[in-house]
Amino acid sequence: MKQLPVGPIALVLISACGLLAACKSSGGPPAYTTAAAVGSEPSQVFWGDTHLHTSYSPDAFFFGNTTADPDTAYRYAKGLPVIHPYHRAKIQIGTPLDFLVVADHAEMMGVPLRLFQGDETLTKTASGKRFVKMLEAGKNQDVFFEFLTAINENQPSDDLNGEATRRSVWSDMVAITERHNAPGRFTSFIGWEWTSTPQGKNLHRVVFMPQGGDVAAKFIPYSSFDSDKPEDLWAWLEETSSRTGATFTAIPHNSNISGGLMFNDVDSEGRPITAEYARTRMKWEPVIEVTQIKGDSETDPILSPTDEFADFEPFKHALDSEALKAGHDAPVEPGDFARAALGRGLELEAKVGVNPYKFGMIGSTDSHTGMSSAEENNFHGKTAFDSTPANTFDAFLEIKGFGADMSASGMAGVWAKANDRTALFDAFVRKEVYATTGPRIRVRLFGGWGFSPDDAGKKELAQIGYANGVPMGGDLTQAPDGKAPRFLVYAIKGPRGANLDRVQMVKGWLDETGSAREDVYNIAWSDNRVLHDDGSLNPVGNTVDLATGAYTNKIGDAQLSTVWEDPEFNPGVRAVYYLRVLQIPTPRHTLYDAIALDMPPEETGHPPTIQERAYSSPIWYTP
Amino acid sequence: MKRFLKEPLVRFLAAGLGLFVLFGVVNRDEPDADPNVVTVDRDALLTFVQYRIKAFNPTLAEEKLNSLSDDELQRLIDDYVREEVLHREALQLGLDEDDYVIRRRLVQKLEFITEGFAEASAGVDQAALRRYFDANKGDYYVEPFVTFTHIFFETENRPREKAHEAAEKKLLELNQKGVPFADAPQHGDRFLYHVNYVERTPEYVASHFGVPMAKAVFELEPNDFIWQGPFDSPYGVHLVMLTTNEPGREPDLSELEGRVREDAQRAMIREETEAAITDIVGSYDVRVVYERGKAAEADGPVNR
Repeated sequence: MKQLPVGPIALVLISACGLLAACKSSGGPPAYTTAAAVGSEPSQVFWGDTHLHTSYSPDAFFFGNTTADPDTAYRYAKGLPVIHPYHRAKIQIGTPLDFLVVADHAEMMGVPLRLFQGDETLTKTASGKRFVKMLEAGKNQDVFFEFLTAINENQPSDDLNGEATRRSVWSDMVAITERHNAPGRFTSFIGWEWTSTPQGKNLHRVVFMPQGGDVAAKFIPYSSFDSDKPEDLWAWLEETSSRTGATFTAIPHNSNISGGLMFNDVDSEGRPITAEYARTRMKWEPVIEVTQIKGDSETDPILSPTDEFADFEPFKHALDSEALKAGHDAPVEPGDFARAALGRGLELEAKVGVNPYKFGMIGSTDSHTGMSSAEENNFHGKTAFDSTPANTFDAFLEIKGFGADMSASGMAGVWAKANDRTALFDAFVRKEVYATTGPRIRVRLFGGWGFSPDDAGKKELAQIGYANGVPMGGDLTQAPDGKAPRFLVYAIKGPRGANLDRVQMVKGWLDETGSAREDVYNIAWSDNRVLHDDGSLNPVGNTVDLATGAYTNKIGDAQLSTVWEDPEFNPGVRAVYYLRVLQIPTPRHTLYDAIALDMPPEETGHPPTIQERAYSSPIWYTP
Repeated sequence: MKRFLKEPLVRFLAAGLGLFVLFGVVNRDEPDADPNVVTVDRDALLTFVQYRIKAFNPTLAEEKLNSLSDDELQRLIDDYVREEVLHREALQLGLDEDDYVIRRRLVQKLEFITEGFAEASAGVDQAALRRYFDANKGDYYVEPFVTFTHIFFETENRPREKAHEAAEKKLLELNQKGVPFADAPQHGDRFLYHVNYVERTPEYVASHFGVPMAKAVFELEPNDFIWQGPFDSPYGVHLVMLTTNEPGREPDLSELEGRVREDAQRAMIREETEAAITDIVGSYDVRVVYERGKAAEADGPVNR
């Protein structure tokens, strides 16, 4: 930083115009400009979405997104107005993103779009002709189900899945992504989605990389047609990484509809998890996506019966096309939810020596509209079709499932020193990332042994955290004699967002039988409420006016900070800690829709308000 | 076929590239007056080759045709004859009539071709670029921005007037000592968001400090030596050192030529495609005889 000249000149200026607030200089351009770094803090939070689909994804295309391509997606994320692919109105994001991964499905990427555009290498194939006929007869749904079935059952139409087509679509995708990367201002990552859905069970992963187009040109994305087993994906990542120099991260998501498979206690062949499996998995999958439009995967009331906030935005519609048609609900299994998986990870680590579920957590949208919209009051649909108030309540195809059943959700907060591919990617690798359900809540979490209670109020909280502890994603071990871990915590509302209700610490630990247990502690809260003897708090209240959708920040606090010490720490027991930060209640997107349609809110079948939240990545204690 | 290729379209296509040749070929005078005679001439084969290699480039097709061995040539001729004969038979049997798939497909194809031509011809020259930029200047407006640092006095744990008193006192000290921009973090209380705000827009500043304070900040003159204030935000009281205050402006075309060129090209393609289709529709005499509410029987049978 440039040292400012001070002294005589400054004094002259002061005497010339006094100390008035509105001191005016003599006009013209300023004599000096100051190069200044934004942060006095060691890291800043950058906001993004690692999981966005465009018209290149077959399902997005059939659900009405025929026009919002990756270019449109990047323009929207950067804050430019764009045309919505379904209702064609001009829309714009409330607060632009800092980074984005367009992650279209690798399976048949760009194929329906090109079929429809009349790409003759596709329309002249046997399958192409048949699909064109069906599309022209208005049988989009049937085509969708055929594509979904083909993808789920790994039976692509070979004539539509040729290498030339895949290479050509991929090279378009890479070129667009490269064009939008502007280090320091906006980061675009090259990526895709591996869409494995064995028997309708969701094992999907988004894969992305920090390298550029020169490296991405050396491969075609690995798809579930190649294999639907995660072990095979990791083997491909390993092989491709050593061949091309790419470094990848794969992000599992929608574990909530994985039928217990996502965080299972056995591998794809049904064999017990081994240390080798755990090491490989953690190499490629350091972070999971815990929340998105298609439901929240933190936990479920069945798994966490004493957690009063566990019932949040569940999504239970299975992805199996037969089950979809029949309207079956996905069951709730421990392998479906992040909290249970973190506990299971401790159990497996105690058994095999390595924890396969030692993951950080982010949110992302999984929007299929090309618009990364996670704002309830500016939500553009999971699919292009359910972007209008009326369609929100209309049947989503023939299946049981409505736009109204999903909420605007999923943001990834990343603590890094700079907004570029390397700095952001490294933060994913060290898990210094976290999730919100949409709002830009800033969450700091440090774990250590020596924090003092007044560190929570200090200005240099972040410096103290880094100097005397580990940030989220880190490890604690070797507890000093008689000491319990202390956590330095700071949560701040989003600049345009609602106030905060409370900060909770979720702790997972192993009991004497080696089984995972969980506790939720209220550790900081608003409005000077008094903690009850059982550790509970009175609800923060609700200011939402159901007739107008307005709310106020008269309840809740703008910031909450504390130093919390684990009151039941056992230095001989494995444990995992993460924060859950709750906002005050705000309108759910369906309330805005109901108001727009002049419909009583209770008829939406959904609560009119929700408590948006943030989940930090955990800190682990290992004896 | 001739009726289908109405004048405006031909003119439009003529402006384009290779496909015109193709339509010209398709549209040529039928050499085979006798429907049972198939004449395989050079033009027919050239057209056929272009379909086969999926590249509508006569030169390339000619090279390809010349490079064929006798065997390959014979196979090409056999294939052509087979396709031509079966096509004629199908037409004779009326298989193309009332086939909605073919109808939609043809419409789509023409739309696609039209757009393709618009794309090919939408090279945006400097004059067009300038025209587009002038007409759409609003889209490229650069928001005003400021660069400043601030010192914060919280009002969560003290009354606002106390915070004001503290700020006034600090203001005097800062300016007497000539405390520089870079030392801001050493003074005052912890603020929720940033210490330094670099090149931030009014909306951004307002989201962190509230609208009234943002307005006040954007009215300050830049000055690297003077701390100014105090200002009130919803969170407390602030002293500000502002070093840059750039008004909003319409940038020069040269600053963002790439982005404008892309936008202009997109707009031009849309316009040309629509204009071409409007032209085609305009060359028809459209007579709407349907009247709402009138039963079909009253008009007599509607279907042929």
